Amino acid sequence: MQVYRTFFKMLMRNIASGLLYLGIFIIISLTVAKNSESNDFTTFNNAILDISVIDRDNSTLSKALYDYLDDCQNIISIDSDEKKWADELFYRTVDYILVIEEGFEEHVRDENYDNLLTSYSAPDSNTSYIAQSQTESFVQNVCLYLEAGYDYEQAALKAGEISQITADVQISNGSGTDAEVSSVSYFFTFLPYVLICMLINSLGATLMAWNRPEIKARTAVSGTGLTARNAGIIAAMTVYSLVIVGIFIIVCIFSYRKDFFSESTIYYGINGLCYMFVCIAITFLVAQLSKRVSALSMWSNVIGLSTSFLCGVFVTRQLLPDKVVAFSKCLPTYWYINVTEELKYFSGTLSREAWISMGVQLLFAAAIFAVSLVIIKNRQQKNA
Amino acid sequence: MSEIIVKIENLVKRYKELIAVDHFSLEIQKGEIFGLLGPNGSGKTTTINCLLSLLSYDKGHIEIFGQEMRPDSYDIKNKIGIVMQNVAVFEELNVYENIDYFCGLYIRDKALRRQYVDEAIEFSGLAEYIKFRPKKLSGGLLRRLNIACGIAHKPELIILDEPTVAVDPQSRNKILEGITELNKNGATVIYTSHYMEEVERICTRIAIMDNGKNLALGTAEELKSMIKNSETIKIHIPVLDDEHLEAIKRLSHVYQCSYSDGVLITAFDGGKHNLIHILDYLKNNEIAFGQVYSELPTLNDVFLEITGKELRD
Repeated sequence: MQVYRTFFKMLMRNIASGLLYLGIFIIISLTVAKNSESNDFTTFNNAILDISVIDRDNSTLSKALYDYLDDCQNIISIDSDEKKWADELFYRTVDYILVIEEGFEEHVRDENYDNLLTSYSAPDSNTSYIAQSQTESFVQNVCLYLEAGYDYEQAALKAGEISQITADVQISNGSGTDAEVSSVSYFFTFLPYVLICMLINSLGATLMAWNRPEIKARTAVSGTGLTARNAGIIAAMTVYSLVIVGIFIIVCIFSYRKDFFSESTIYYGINGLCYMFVCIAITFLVAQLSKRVSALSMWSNVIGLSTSFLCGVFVTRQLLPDKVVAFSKCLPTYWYINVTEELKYFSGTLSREAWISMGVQLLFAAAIFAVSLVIIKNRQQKNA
Repeated sequence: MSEIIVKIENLVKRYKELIAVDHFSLEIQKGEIFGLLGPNGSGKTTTINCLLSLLSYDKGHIEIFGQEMRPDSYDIKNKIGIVMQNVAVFEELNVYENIDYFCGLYIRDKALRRQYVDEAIEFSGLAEYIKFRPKKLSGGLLRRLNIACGIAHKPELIILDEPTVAVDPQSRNKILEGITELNKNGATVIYTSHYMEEVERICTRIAIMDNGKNLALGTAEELKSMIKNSETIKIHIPVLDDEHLEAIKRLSHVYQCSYSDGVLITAFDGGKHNLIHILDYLKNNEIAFGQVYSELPTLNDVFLEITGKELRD
């Protein structure tokens, strides 16, 4: 009990460094969740640009092209002085200027109109190509109808009708279902990085203090047995980690009141607890390997960032190369994300694979813990 | 017959080729302040670590309070207080919390522990510093904290491994007085040091160690009586010819005599009134002399005569 109380007391004094990560985490997760709420991923809207059309041909076809572009985009009148166009484009008064030169209609039939349609785009404009593409598409369609024997007016009318045909665009969420992604999922997806950083920095520093040879020796010669000492330390580590996870949950409740109280949140919590044991084991190992407390920050960033990037915490796994995903299976975070990915589109029952993933995390924790014990044992044998 | 608290028989500890403790035997009786004296690297700390089962050993037998000492002998460990050579306190805890933690490893009862911690703070003179973290303490105060952590639970056997290293004279004096007080209160003390003055001042019996061996054992007087030298007299004499030097060498009990840089150094192997005899000779022969010093043998002389080297080499 004495070991537990003292260890816990020291842990709570190191909590400040951990809270820094908590603050960063809350800001990131809330921002991401907020953005995700405002984006309606299931609809698609065409972009409407401010463009200008200078019609010097004044023909049936040039007027039809003007009318078509007017339907698709927002046509703005600008000064006919070409010298001023650069300024209009630079200051984004318009994104695109199309000049229909005199004789355009005449040369469309023989498809020799390239020099009679001149376009200007705003510097570094990524959207002006839309207007350019619409222009080219319309004129090509007119050419096809003219070849088919239609006159200018009919060809322009038909080309306009074709342009009205739109594709029904739907954006897939990748799950194969139409289920909505809960905001809580963003919170729990980022949890591994923060949890590992917090525990290595706060728990690791305290563990290192207890690993100092003179403290170890001093405790070993006391009336408190090694088993009681280790039990006290493990209990304090677990309770502390539960406190940290508890803080996360409280933050989560305040942040996502609507989404929090659902069945999937319970599974998120269980998955988080499994990963907590992984983090405790990693921290225990790092505390054995690290020579200085100041090095803990480096350890936490290397482990936290690398596993987060490789396993799909920061970047969704669908965007990662297959080889990276294959490698990430060797890391416990992969199995954590496995569960959170499934819970994003939770349909009422958790799959067997998800339960296995949680079990694999616990096995990782046990394996890492065993490696630490081997290191301790080897050191003891060297010093004995 | 006194109760034997610590019994070490034929202890051998090897580090590969190096023999750190070489067939070391010892018996310490209840109520003693037992000194382990030896230069750095002589095997004192290794012996203590073997005694506490912190280190395994190759050969020998160790008993404390009449029972074999093993790593899991927690009932024995409960009665021992240890003050390690390296200060073993938590930087993250303040003075009070440190003492409370180490005391709590032995004393479960909260009220009793609080009383013991307060007494240890009072004993070590740390009352003004209870809220201080260790890094805010001076070297002397840190050593006193280390001692307070080791003795707070009122152990029957206290082991102090070089507790005064790098401590100012004032703190050292306080520490030595404290150890004597602990002994008066009933604790048996094992005190290791390479400072012969300290050992000579507080220890009732002393073992001299070198190269892991127990070279000599006894009270300070017994150890000094083991060697030939009983007294060394130094006299400042501006001029002394060889004829007189030879005559002084022939005086009773003189076994060594030398004259250089105006100082005559004469060593005696016993006898009484040696100083009077030598001064009488100088007066009778009208030899002028200045300052006169008479030195009794020290433990360093004992160590020098046994090993052929100085204790502080």
